[in-house]
Amino acid sequence: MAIRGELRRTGFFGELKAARYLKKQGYKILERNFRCKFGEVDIIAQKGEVVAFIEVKTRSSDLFGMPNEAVGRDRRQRYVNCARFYFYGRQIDCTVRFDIIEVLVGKINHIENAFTA
Amino acid sequence: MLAKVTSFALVGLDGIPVEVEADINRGMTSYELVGLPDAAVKESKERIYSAIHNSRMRFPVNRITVNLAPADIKKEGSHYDLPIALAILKAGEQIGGADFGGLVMMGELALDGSIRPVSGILPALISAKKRGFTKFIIPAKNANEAAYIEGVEVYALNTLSEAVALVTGERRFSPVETKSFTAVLKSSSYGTDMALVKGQQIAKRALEIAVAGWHNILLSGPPGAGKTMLARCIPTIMPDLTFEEALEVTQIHSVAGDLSEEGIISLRPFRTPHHTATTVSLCGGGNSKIKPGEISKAHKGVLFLDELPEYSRSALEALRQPLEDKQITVSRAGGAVTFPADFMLCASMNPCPCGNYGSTFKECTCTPAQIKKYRAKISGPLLDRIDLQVEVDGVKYEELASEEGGESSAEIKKRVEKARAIQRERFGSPMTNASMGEREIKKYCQLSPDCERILKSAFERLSLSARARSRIIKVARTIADLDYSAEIKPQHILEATSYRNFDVKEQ
Repeated sequence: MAIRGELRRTGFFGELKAARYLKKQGYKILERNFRCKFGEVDIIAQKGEVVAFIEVKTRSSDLFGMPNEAVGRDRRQRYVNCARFYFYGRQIDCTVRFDIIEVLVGKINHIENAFTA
Repeated sequence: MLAKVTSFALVGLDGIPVEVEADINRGMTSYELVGLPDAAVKESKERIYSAIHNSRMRFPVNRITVNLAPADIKKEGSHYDLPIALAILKAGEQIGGADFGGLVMMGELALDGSIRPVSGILPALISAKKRGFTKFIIPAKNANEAAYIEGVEVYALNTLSEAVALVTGERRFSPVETKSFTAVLKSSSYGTDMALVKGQQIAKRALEIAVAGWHNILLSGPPGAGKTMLARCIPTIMPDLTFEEALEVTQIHSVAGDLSEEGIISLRPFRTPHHTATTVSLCGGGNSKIKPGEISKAHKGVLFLDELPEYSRSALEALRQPLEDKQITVSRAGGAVTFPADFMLCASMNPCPCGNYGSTFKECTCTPAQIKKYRAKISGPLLDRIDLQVEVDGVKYEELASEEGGESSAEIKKRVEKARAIQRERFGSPMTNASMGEREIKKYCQLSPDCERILKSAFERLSLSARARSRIIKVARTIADLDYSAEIKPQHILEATSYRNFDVKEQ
């Protein structure tokens, strides 16, 4: 279980870094680790009329490919479903965007509109 | 916001305006393309996305819906890229001041934002002009196709950024300059001449008659006699294409997508499909986008079928109806399309399997049964539609070696043009003798009792069909025209009958 703890620490570190980065970019963090029956969304952030659902992928090396490559079709569908669930019952006039933030060895790469519904 | 751009869809040679609507709303980011797009149109999204980004603009992040109206006709081809891209940019309020009023756009986008050439520009322009559109944006590489149409304002552009600059009024572009048609005619470029064909006086005469009256012709003779060479000379003795004819021919080739840089076809087509050609390749067809076949590509020119009996039976029989109607209607589940197919059929064949039947130089080694079987490959109805059937025998060595050239193509062409002028005057239209109906035959081909007697005996002796009779009269009319004779004389009828020798041989 030691490895598992190590991984969780890496992921948590990445999400923290991503959230800090988003705030610096003028985003308002609406939710962290939003959970619903469809799954979990790492960060929901708002900037102006855009609400972004952000998947944070952290890697400590690019030995196994770039972090964003690890966001597959199922993961994307999960985000879309979560977004639908999130807005259900809320009247918000906004654009919904799906982003990926890569954190690779501490470096941040924000991919806006990484995938679409 | 909603933006609308006009483009054109082609059904055969007929253009139908297509309204490209783009609407951008808030909501979950998505891109929907509706309005019966085919695969090439659906794939446009990726090209448009890259092209917009590489033109230093932004692809809007929002809920995008693109509709191609009317929604009930299939949208095919890649030329919707440009109108869709501009509609998206306008709907995304990036080019807010853009004015698309009365503007028709066509063009495929490359990933780097440049505009690629597309097929079918000319027919689209012509039908758009008929519907009252006068302003166009087309790919720069298609500029030559548009250069011959007067009264329209065509902008041939290289990149998406140029198109944006044009619609926003940021930059001024000068429209494509209209060219006059005669500037591109070059009749010497066929690369062959009647003077190069030694001997074969009868065949040459028959070809002259065939071209003068737009009759179909069959050359039959032993291998190596010069049938193919003679056939290749046919375009050299044909009158030059008129501008209207050239436009018609060019439209067909534009749809087929085989136009050269020149932009307009100014030489008579000479099509030689191989004898393995299928019915569809000859007549036209295709699964979703119906394309013209060889007979349409030979429109206003020559369709040369070398070694006629080798073609598949079904391919040949399919020619029967277009030979009569001068057009072909290709129907598929997706709809029916009519292409013009006013071609002159020239066929060549050997008289028998060994090729030497009837030759004065070599002995035929075939059995009568073999010959009969070989000839049976060509059906009576098709043969019936070929007005002139000529035997081309080998040539003596003295004739081949002689320095004396025959008449040049230019001289024959002059006579042909005169005969055509007589026909134009007679019919008051560019009609030819071969396309006369029964009514015209009655009106213009009065036969004297002498002629009637000759024709009657030929009719009975050769057991000709009613169609063959009227075809002989038509050929006689052409021969009389070449003779500058107002009425058909007995010698004309006799000559015309002599060109049906294939029927005779079969007796």
